Amino acid sequence: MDEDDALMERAKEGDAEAFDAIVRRHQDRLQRFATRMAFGDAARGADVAVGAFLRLWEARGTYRPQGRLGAWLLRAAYRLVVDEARRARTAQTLAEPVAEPPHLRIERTALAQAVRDAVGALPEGQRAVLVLSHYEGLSGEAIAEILDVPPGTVASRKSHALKTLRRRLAAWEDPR
Amino acid sequence: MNEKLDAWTVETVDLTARVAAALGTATPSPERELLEELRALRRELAELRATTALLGDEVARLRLAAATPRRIVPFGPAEGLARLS
Repeated sequence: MDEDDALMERAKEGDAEAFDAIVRRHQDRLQRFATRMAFGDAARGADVAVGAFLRLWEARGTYRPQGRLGAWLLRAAYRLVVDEARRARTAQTLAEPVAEPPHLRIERTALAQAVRDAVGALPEGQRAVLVLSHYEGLSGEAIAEILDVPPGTVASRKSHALKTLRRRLAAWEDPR
Repeated sequence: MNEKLDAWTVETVDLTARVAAALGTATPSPERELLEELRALRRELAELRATTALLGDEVARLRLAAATPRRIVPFGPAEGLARLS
């Protein structure tokens, strides 16, 4: 049993400190993933990460220790993002890249902004694969498990995503 | 391509308090616990000061009560005194 699962066992007994430790261990990765899935909206990313932790807490009674708590949380975050996008589409308010506060915008380089926009414009499935593979360094198998798709689909989505990004970012010189 | 993608960085914040509050399992933070301890110490200190002041008053009262009264009575009874005029 790995450390995450040991902490979950304690959390099942109502040990809030153990759950707090789980949050500390996974919050950065969850936030980074959710923020990138949410077009760089850090506040929305934090909301999604909190939502994923709440789902874990609610499901703690049925959680099975398999050494995959990180994947469980990323999957929960992905579903939250997808569900929200679906609701937004239903409401005819398809999610667009959100306007950042001015102070954040100033701090970003133009290239970072371009990357954010280019990644944000990818279809959800491709965006998730790219973020999990490139930014979080997860393997194709791990991503397949998180997104609940075959490994071949992961490879295909990644290939399409990179092809699209190369085209959209072609105008930028490689940074030296 | 990888270097270009790396230009987009994401800042994160500590979510532990938000999650704990949402779950209703908020535990006192070390800072808050320390603050509570300091407040308790200040209360104890104030009580000690009040007790010290009371003890000081009591000691002073006891000292006064135990002292032999030495009084000069300039206008005492005149019986037995010889008149000079």
